[in-house]
Amino acid sequence: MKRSLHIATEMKEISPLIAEIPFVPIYTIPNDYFKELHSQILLKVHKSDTYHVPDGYFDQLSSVVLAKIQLTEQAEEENELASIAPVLSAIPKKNVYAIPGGYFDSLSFENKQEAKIVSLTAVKKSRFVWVKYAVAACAVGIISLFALNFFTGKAVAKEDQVIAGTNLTYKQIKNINVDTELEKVSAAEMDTYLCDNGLVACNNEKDNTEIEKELENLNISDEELDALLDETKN
Amino acid sequence: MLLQQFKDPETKERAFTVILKRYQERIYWHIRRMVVDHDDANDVVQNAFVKAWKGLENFREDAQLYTWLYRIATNESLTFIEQKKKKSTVSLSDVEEGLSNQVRASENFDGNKLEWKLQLGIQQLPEKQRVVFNLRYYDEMPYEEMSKVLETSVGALKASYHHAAKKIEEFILGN
Repeated sequence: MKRSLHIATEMKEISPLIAEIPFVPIYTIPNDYFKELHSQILLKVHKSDTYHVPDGYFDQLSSVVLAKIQLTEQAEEENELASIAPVLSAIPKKNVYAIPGGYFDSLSFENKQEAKIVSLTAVKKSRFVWVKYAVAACAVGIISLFALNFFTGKAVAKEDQVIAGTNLTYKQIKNINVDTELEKVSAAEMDTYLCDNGLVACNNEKDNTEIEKELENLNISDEELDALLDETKN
Repeated sequence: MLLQQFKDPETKERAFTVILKRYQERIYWHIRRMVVDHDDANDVVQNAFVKAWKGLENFREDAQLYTWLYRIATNESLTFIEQKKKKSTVSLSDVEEGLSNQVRASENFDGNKLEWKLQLGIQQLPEKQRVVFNLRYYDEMPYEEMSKVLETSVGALKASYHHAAKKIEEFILGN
Protein backbone atom coordinates (compact mmCIF):
# COMPACT_ATOMS: atom_id res chain seq x y z
CA MET A 1 0.00 0.00 0.00
CA LYS A 2 1.33 3.36 -1.00
CA ARG A 3 0.09 6.56 0.47
CA SER A 4 -0.40 9.63 -1.65
CA LEU A 5 1.95 12.42 -0.65
CA HIS A 6 -0.86 14.92 -0.83
CA ILE A 7 -3.01 12.95 1.62
CA ALA A 8 -0.07 12.33 3.94
CA THR A 9 0.82 16.02 4.00
CA GLU A 10 -2.76 16.97 4.69
CA MET A 11 -2.95 14.52 7.60
CA LYS A 12 0.36 15.81 8.98
CA GLU A 13 -1.18 19.25 9.19
CA ILE A 14 -4.29 17.96 10.94
CA SER A 15 -2.81 15.25 13.14
CA PRO A 16 0.90 14.43 13.07
CA LEU A 17 0.19 11.44 15.28
CA ILE A 18 -2.09 9.73 12.74
CA ALA A 19 0.22 10.70 9.92
CA GLU A 20 2.99 8.71 11.60
CA ILE A 21 0.96 5.50 11.82
CA PRO A 22 2.21 2.88 9.32
CA PHE A 23 -0.04 2.64 6.29
CA VAL A 24 -0.28 -1.13 6.12
CA PRO A 25 -3.17 -3.51 5.44
CA ILE A 26 -4.36 -5.02 8.68
CA TYR A 27 -7.53 -6.82 7.68
CA THR A 28 -7.06 -10.22 6.11
CA ILE A 29 -9.09 -11.80 3.32
CA PRO A 30 -9.27 -15.39 2.09
CA ASN A 31 -6.71 -16.41 -0.48
CA ASP A 32 -7.64 -15.68 -4.07
CA TYR A 33 -10.73 -13.94 -2.82
CA PHE A 34 -10.70 -11.27 -5.54
CA LYS A 35 -10.06 -13.85 -8.24
CA GLU A 36 -13.40 -15.44 -7.43
CA LEU A 37 -15.36 -12.39 -6.30
CA HIS A 38 -16.53 -11.32 -9.74
CA SER A 39 -17.76 -14.89 -10.45
CA GLN A 40 -19.69 -14.93 -7.18
CA ILE A 41 -21.21 -11.56 -7.97
CA LEU A 42 -22.21 -12.64 -11.48
CA LEU A 43 -23.82 -15.76 -10.00
CA LYS A 44 -25.82 -13.58 -7.63
CA VAL A 45 -26.74 -11.23 -10.44
CA HIS A 46 -28.15 -14.13 -12.46
CA LYS A 47 -30.05 -15.39 -9.42
CA SER A 48 -31.58 -11.97 -8.99
CA ASP A 49 -32.65 -12.09 -12.64
CA THR A 50 -34.73 -15.27 -12.18
CA TYR A 51 -37.89 -13.42 -13.11
CA HIS A 52 -37.09 -11.88 -16.42
CA VAL A 53 -39.32 -9.45 -18.28
CA PRO A 54 -39.00 -8.71 -22.01
CA ASP A 55 -37.09 -5.62 -23.06
CA GLY A 56 -39.27 -2.50 -23.02
CA TYR A 57 -42.05 -4.35 -21.18
CA PHE A 58 -42.69 -1.58 -18.67
CA ASP A 59 -42.56 1.09 -21.38
CA GLN A 60 -45.52 -0.51 -23.13
CA LEU A 61 -47.36 -1.80 -20.05
CA SER A 62 -49.53 1.30 -19.53
CA SER A 63 -50.73 1.39 -23.17
CA VAL A 64 -51.44 -2.36 -23.12
CA VAL A 65 -53.52 -2.02 -19.95
CA LEU A 66 -55.46 0.96 -21.36
CA ALA A 67 -56.18 -0.93 -24.60
CA LYS A 68 -57.49 -3.86 -22.60
CA ILE A 69 -59.74 -1.57 -20.55
CA GLN A 70 -61.17 -0.06 -23.76
CA LEU A 71 -61.83 -3.52 -25.20
CA THR A 72 -63.64 -4.57 -22.02
CA GLU A 73 -65.81 -1.44 -22.01
CA GLN A 74 -66.63 -1.88 -25.71
CA ALA A 75 -67.63 -5.51 -25.13
CA GLU A 76 -69.90 -4.45 -22.25
CA GLU A 77 -71.63 -1.86 -24.46
CA GLU A 78 -72.17 -4.41 -27.23
CA ASN A 79 -73.60 -6.95 -24.78
CA GLU A 80 -75.97 -4.34 -23.37
CA LEU A 81 -77.26 -3.41 -26.84
CA ALA A 82 -77.57 -7.07 -27.83
CA SER A 83 -79.73 -7.76 -24.80
CA ILE A 84 -81.98 -4.73 -25.45
CA ALA A 85 -82.19 -4.74 -29.24
CA PRO A 86 -80.50 -7.69 -31.00
CA VAL A 87 -81.37 -6.32 -34.44
CA LEU A 88 -79.63 -3.02 -33.74
CA SER A 89 -76.53 -4.71 -32.38
CA ALA A 90 -76.25 -6.74 -35.61
CA ILE A 91 -76.09 -3.56 -37.70
CA PRO A 92 -72.49 -2.44 -38.22
CA LYS A 93 -71.64 0.95 -36.75
CA LYS A 94 -70.78 2.87 -39.88
CA ASN A 95 -71.18 6.54 -40.62
CA VAL A 96 -73.60 6.76 -43.51
CA TYR A 97 -73.44 10.53 -43.91
CA ALA A 98 -71.00 12.05 -46.37
CA ILE A 99 -69.34 15.44 -46.14
CA PRO A 100 -67.64 17.50 -48.87
CA GLY A 101 -63.98 16.68 -49.43
CA GLY A 102 -61.63 18.67 -47.22
CA TYR A 103 -64.53 20.04 -45.17
CA PHE A 104 -62.77 19.86 -41.85
CA ASP A 105 -59.58 21.33 -43.32
CA SER A 106 -61.46 24.40 -44.48
CA LEU A 107 -63.53 24.65 -41.32
CA SER A 108 -62.60 27.78 -39.50
CA PHE A 109 -63.85 28.95 -36.18
CA GLU A 110 -62.30 32.36 -36.55
CA ASN A 111 -64.84 34.98 -35.59
CA LYS A 112 -64.14 38.10 -37.58
CA GLN A 113 -67.13 40.05 -36.34
CA GLU A 114 -66.84 41.78 -33.11
CA ALA A 115 -69.23 40.50 -30.55
CA LYS A 116 -72.17 42.83 -29.94
CA ILE A 117 -71.95 44.33 -26.53
CA VAL A 118 -75.33 44.54 -24.87
CA SER A 119 -75.52 47.06 -22.10
CA LEU A 120 -77.00 45.86 -18.89
CA THR A 121 -79.01 49.13 -18.72
CA ALA A 122 -80.65 48.68 -22.15
CA VAL A 123 -83.85 50.65 -21.24
CA LYS A 124 -83.32 54.30 -20.54
CA LYS A 125 -84.51 55.21 -17.10
CA SER A 126 -86.03 58.60 -18.06
CA ARG A 127 -88.49 57.06 -20.57
CA PHE A 128 -90.52 55.13 -18.01
CA VAL A 129 -90.01 57.20 -14.92
CA TRP A 130 -93.64 58.45 -14.96
CA VAL A 131 -94.95 54.87 -14.89
CA LYS A 132 -93.19 54.31 -11.64
CA TYR A 133 -94.78 57.39 -10.06
CA ALA A 134 -98.26 56.60 -11.49
CA VAL A 135 -98.22 53.11 -10.05
CA ALA A 136 -97.11 54.49 -6.72
CA ALA A 137 -99.90 57.11 -6.74
CA CYS A 138 -102.56 54.49 -7.55
CA ALA A 139 -101.35 52.28 -4.78
CA VAL A 140 -101.42 55.16 -2.29
CA GLY A 141 -104.96 56.15 -3.41
CA ILE A 142 -106.36 52.63 -3.08
CA ILE A 143 -104.82 52.15 0.31
CA SER A 144 -106.10 55.58 1.51
CA LEU A 145 -109.67 54.92 0.41
CA PHE A 146 -109.71 51.56 2.02
CA ALA A 147 -108.31 52.97 5.22
CA LEU A 148 -110.76 55.88 5.28
CA ASN A 149 -113.73 53.60 4.71
CA PHE A 150 -112.50 51.15 7.30
CA PHE A 151 -111.67 53.62 10.07
CA THR A 152 -114.62 56.08 9.77
CA GLY A 153 -117.25 53.27 9.94
CA LYS A 154 -119.66 55.39 7.82
CA ALA A 155 -120.31 52.67 5.38
CA VAL A 156 -124.15 52.63 4.85
CA ALA A 157 -125.86 49.35 4.72
CA LYS A 158 -127.90 48.86 1.57
CA GLU A 159 -131.10 48.11 3.51
CA ASP A 160 -131.07 51.59 5.09
CA GLN A 161 -130.85 53.39 1.73
CA VAL A 162 -133.94 55.43 0.71
CA ILE A 163 -135.41 54.38 -2.59
CA ALA A 164 -135.40 57.18 -5.09
CA GLY A 165 -138.85 58.76 -5.63
CA THR A 166 -140.21 57.51 -2.32
CA ASN A 167 -139.78 58.29 1.34
CA LEU A 168 -139.29 54.59 2.16
CA THR A 169 -136.18 52.50 2.68
CA TYR A 170 -135.63 48.98 1.37
CA LYS A 171 -136.15 47.69 4.89
CA GLN A 172 -139.55 49.45 5.28
CA ILE A 173 -140.77 48.13 1.93
CA LYS A 174 -139.71 44.62 2.81
CA ASN A 175 -141.84 44.81 6.00
CA ILE A 176 -145.08 46.03 4.27
CA ASN A 177 -148.04 43.61 4.42
CA VAL A 178 -149.56 44.07 0.94
CA ASP A 179 -153.04 42.63 1.73
CA THR A 180 -153.51 44.86 4.79
CA GLU A 181 -152.43 47.94 2.92
CA LEU A 182 -154.73 47.15 -0.04
CA GLU A 183 -157.74 46.90 2.23
CA LYS A 184 -157.02 50.43 3.40
CA VAL A 185 -157.27 51.73 -0.18
CA SER A 186 -160.77 52.63 -1.51
CA ALA A 187 -162.04 51.43 -4.90
CA ALA A 188 -162.12 54.95 -6.27
CA GLU A 189 -158.49 55.52 -5.25
CA MET A 190 -157.59 52.23 -6.85
CA ASP A 191 -159.34 53.16 -10.15
CA THR A 192 -157.64 56.49 -10.20
CA TYR A 193 -154.21 54.94 -9.58
CA LEU A 194 -154.72 52.33 -12.26
CA CYS A 195 -156.10 54.82 -14.73
CA ASP A 196 -153.35 57.41 -14.06
CA ASN A 197 -150.60 54.87 -14.57
CA GLY A 198 -152.22 53.48 -17.75
CA LEU A 199 -152.62 50.03 -16.26
CA VAL A 200 -156.30 49.75 -17.36
CA ALA A 201 -158.51 51.40 -20.02
CA CYS A 202 -160.11 54.41 -18.47
CA ASN A 203 -163.79 55.26 -18.99
CA ASN A 204 -163.49 58.96 -19.31
CA GLU A 205 -167.05 59.97 -19.55
CA LYS A 206 -167.61 63.16 -21.44
CA ASP A 207 -170.74 65.09 -21.58
CA ASN A 208 -173.10 64.07 -24.36
CA THR A 209 -173.32 67.58 -25.49
CA GLU A 210 -169.59 67.74 -26.06
CA ILE A 211 -169.78 64.57 -28.15
CA GLU A 212 -172.61 65.85 -30.18
CA LYS A 213 -170.69 69.05 -30.88
CA GLU A 214 -167.74 67.09 -32.07
CA LEU A 215 -169.94 64.98 -34.33
CA GLU A 216 -171.45 68.07 -35.87
CA ASN A 217 -167.97 69.37 -36.54
CA LEU A 218 -167.22 66.13 -38.36
CA ASN A 219 -170.19 66.58 -40.78
CA ILE A 220 -171.16 62.88 -40.59
CA SER A 221 -174.82 62.00 -41.28
CA ASP A 222 -176.84 59.74 -39.02
CA GLU A 223 -177.01 57.07 -41.67
CA GLU A 224 -173.22 57.07 -42.08
CA LEU A 225 -172.79 56.91 -38.36
CA ASP A 226 -175.17 53.98 -38.03
CA ALA A 227 -173.37 52.16 -40.82
CA LEU A 228 -170.04 52.79 -39.06
CA LEU A 229 -171.37 51.41 -35.85
CA ASP A 230 -172.63 48.36 -37.59
CA GLU A 231 -169.18 47.72 -39.08
CA THR A 232 -167.50 48.02 -35.71
CA LYS A 233 -170.01 45.61 -34.23
CA ASN A 234 -168.93 42.99 -36.75
CA MET B 1 -17.63 2.52 -24.24
CA LEU B 2 -18.20 0.05 -21.38
CA LEU B 3 -21.63 1.48 -20.77
CA GLN B 4 -22.58 1.11 -24.43
CA GLN B 5 -21.42 -2.48 -24.35
CA PHE B 6 -23.48 -3.02 -21.21
CA LYS B 7 -26.60 -1.75 -22.95
CA ASP B 8 -26.10 -4.26 -25.76
CA PRO B 9 -27.52 -7.66 -24.64
CA GLU B 10 -24.79 -9.45 -26.59
CA THR B 11 -21.95 -7.80 -24.70
CA LYS B 12 -23.72 -6.90 -21.46
CA GLU B 13 -22.20 -9.58 -19.22
CA ARG B 14 -18.73 -9.17 -20.66
CA ALA B 15 -18.86 -5.42 -20.03
CA PHE B 16 -20.05 -5.94 -16.47
CA THR B 17 -17.25 -8.44 -15.80
CA VAL B 18 -14.74 -5.79 -16.87
CA ILE B 19 -16.36 -3.29 -14.49
CA LEU B 20 -16.29 -5.84 -11.66
CA LYS B 21 -12.63 -6.66 -12.11
CA ARG B 22 -11.76 -2.99 -12.31
CA TYR B 23 -13.59 -1.81 -9.19
CA GLN B 24 -14.27 -4.84 -6.97
CA GLU B 25 -11.20 -4.49 -4.74
CA ARG B 26 -11.65 -0.79 -4.08
CA ILE B 27 -15.34 -1.23 -3.39
CA TYR B 28 -14.72 -4.27 -1.19
CA TRP B 29 -12.18 -2.46 0.99
CA HIS B 30 -14.42 0.57 1.33
CA ILE B 31 -17.18 -1.69 2.58
CA ARG B 32 -14.87 -3.78 4.74
CA ARG B 33 -13.65 -0.73 6.65
CA MET B 34 -17.28 0.14 7.31
CA VAL B 35 -18.64 -3.24 8.40
CA VAL B 36 -15.29 -4.73 9.60
CA ASP B 37 -16.25 -8.39 9.26
CA HIS B 38 -15.23 -10.12 6.01
CA ASP B 39 -18.41 -12.20 5.63
CA ASP B 40 -20.56 -9.13 6.16
CA ALA B 41 -18.42 -7.21 3.68
CA ASN B 42 -18.73 -10.05 1.17
CA ASP B 43 -22.53 -9.95 1.41
CA VAL B 44 -22.65 -6.20 1.13
CA VAL B 45 -20.27 -6.01 -1.84
CA GLN B 46 -22.30 -8.59 -3.72
CA ASN B 47 -25.55 -6.76 -3.02
CA ALA B 48 -23.95 -3.51 -4.10
CA PHE B 49 -22.88 -4.93 -7.46
CA VAL B 50 -26.28 -6.56 -8.02
CA LYS B 51 -27.80 -3.13 -7.58
CA ALA B 52 -25.25 -1.72 -9.98
CA TRP B 53 -26.21 -4.37 -12.56
CA LYS B 54 -29.88 -3.41 -12.28
CA GLY B 55 -29.27 0.34 -12.33
CA LEU B 56 -26.51 0.59 -14.88
CA GLU B 57 -29.02 0.76 -17.77
CA ASN B 58 -30.26 4.09 -16.43
CA PHE B 59 -26.86 5.38 -15.34
CA ARG B 60 -26.30 8.94 -16.48
CA GLU B 61 -22.99 9.21 -18.23
CA ASP B 62 -22.42 12.73 -16.94
CA ALA B 63 -21.30 11.16 -13.64
CA GLN B 64 -18.21 9.03 -13.19
CA LEU B 65 -18.87 5.33 -12.91
CA TYR B 66 -16.62 4.82 -9.93
CA THR B 67 -18.22 7.61 -7.86
CA TRP B 68 -21.61 6.08 -8.67
CA LEU B 69 -20.36 2.66 -7.50
CA TYR B 70 -18.96 4.20 -4.33
CA ARG B 71 -22.31 5.80 -3.63
CA ILE B 72 -24.10 2.48 -3.98
CA ALA B 73 -21.49 0.77 -1.78
CA THR B 74 -21.72 3.48 0.89
CA ASN B 75 -25.52 3.33 0.97
CA GLU B 76 -25.47 -0.46 1.13
CA SER B 77 -22.96 -0.38 4.00
CA LEU B 78 -24.98 2.16 5.98
CA THR B 79 -28.19 0.20 5.33
CA PHE B 80 -26.50 -2.96 6.52
CA ILE B 81 -25.33 -1.29 9.74
CA GLU B 82 -28.77 0.21 10.26
CA GLN B 83 -30.44 -3.16 9.87
CA LYS B 84 -27.94 -4.66 12.29
CA LYS B 85 -28.89 -2.00 14.82
CA LYS B 86 -32.60 -2.76 14.40
CA LYS B 87 -32.08 -6.48 14.78
CA SER B 88 -29.99 -5.92 17.87
CA THR B 89 -31.82 -5.14 21.10
CA VAL B 90 -28.78 -3.38 22.50
CA SER B 91 -28.18 0.37 22.35
CA LEU B 92 -26.38 2.31 19.62
CA SER B 93 -23.19 2.58 21.65
CA ASP B 94 -23.24 -1.18 22.10
CA VAL B 95 -23.44 -1.64 18.33
CA GLU B 96 -20.41 0.60 17.89
CA GLU B 97 -18.75 -1.36 20.62
CA GLY B 98 -19.67 -4.46 18.63
CA LEU B 99 -17.75 -3.12 15.64
CA SER B 100 -14.76 -2.45 17.89
CA ASN B 101 -15.05 -5.97 19.21
CA GLN B 102 -15.01 -7.24 15.67
CA VAL B 103 -11.81 -5.30 15.12
CA ARG B 104 -10.34 -6.88 18.24
CA ALA B 105 -11.49 -10.29 17.03
CA SER B 106 -9.69 -9.82 13.75
CA GLU B 107 -6.81 -12.04 12.81
CA ASN B 108 -3.41 -10.66 13.87
CA PHE B 109 -5.04 -8.06 16.12
CA ASP B 110 -2.52 -6.36 18.38
CA GLY B 111 -3.92 -3.71 20.63
CA ASN B 112 -0.52 -2.21 21.24
CA LYS B 113 0.09 -1.37 17.65
CA LEU B 114 -0.93 2.08 16.46
CA GLU B 115 -2.47 0.78 13.22
CA TRP B 116 -4.97 -1.28 15.27
CA LYS B 117 -5.60 1.62 17.62
CA LEU B 118 -6.31 3.68 14.55
CA GLN B 119 -8.95 1.14 13.47
CA LEU B 120 -10.53 1.15 16.90
CA GLY B 121 -10.52 4.95 16.84
CA ILE B 122 -12.27 4.95 13.46
CA GLN B 123 -15.05 2.70 14.83
CA GLN B 124 -15.78 5.29 17.53
CA LEU B 125 -16.75 7.86 14.90
CA PRO B 126 -20.34 8.55 13.87
CA GLU B 127 -21.22 6.68 10.66
CA LYS B 128 -21.12 9.61 8.21
CA GLN B 129 -17.87 10.90 9.67
CA ARG B 130 -16.41 7.40 9.40
CA VAL B 131 -17.33 7.29 5.70
CA VAL B 132 -15.69 10.68 5.11
CA PHE B 133 -12.51 9.65 6.93
CA ASN B 134 -12.22 6.32 5.09
CA LEU B 135 -12.90 7.83 1.65
CA ARG B 136 -10.27 10.51 2.18
CA TYR B 137 -7.60 8.70 4.20
CA TYR B 138 -7.71 5.23 2.64
CA ASP B 139 -9.34 5.70 -0.77
CA GLU B 140 -7.63 9.07 -1.23
CA MET B 141 -10.66 10.41 -2.98
CA PRO B 142 -10.63 14.10 -3.99
CA TYR B 143 -13.15 16.22 -2.05
CA GLU B 144 -15.00 17.04 -5.27
CA GLU B 145 -15.60 13.35 -5.92
CA MET B 146 -16.55 12.76 -2.29
CA SER B 147 -19.05 15.56 -2.67
CA LYS B 148 -20.75 13.63 -5.49
CA VAL B 149 -20.71 10.36 -3.52
CA LEU B 150 -22.10 11.81 -0.31
CA GLU B 151 -24.02 14.74 -1.82
CA THR B 152 -22.38 17.09 0.67
CA SER B 153 -20.50 20.33 0.08
CA VAL B 154 -16.71 20.25 -0.15
CA GLY B 155 -16.41 22.64 2.79
CA ALA B 156 -18.55 20.43 5.01
CA LEU B 157 -16.48 17.39 3.99
CA LYS B 158 -13.21 19.12 4.84
CA ALA B 159 -14.55 20.13 8.23
CA SER B 160 -15.87 16.64 8.84
CA TYR B 161 -12.53 15.06 7.94
CA HIS B 162 -10.70 17.46 10.25
CA HIS B 163 -13.05 16.68 13.16
CA ALA B 164 -12.77 12.94 12.52
CA ALA B 165 -8.97 13.02 12.57
CA LYS B 166 -8.98 15.01 15.81
CA LYS B 167 -11.39 12.57 17.48
CA ILE B 168 -9.27 9.59 16.43
CA GLU B 169 -6.17 11.33 17.73
CA GLU B 170 -7.85 11.89 21.08
CA PHE B 171 -8.92 8.26 21.16
CA ILE B 172 -5.40 7.02 20.46
CA LEU B 173 -3.89 9.35 23.05
CA GLY B 174 -6.50 8.25 25.56
CA ASN B 175 -5.87 4.56 25.01
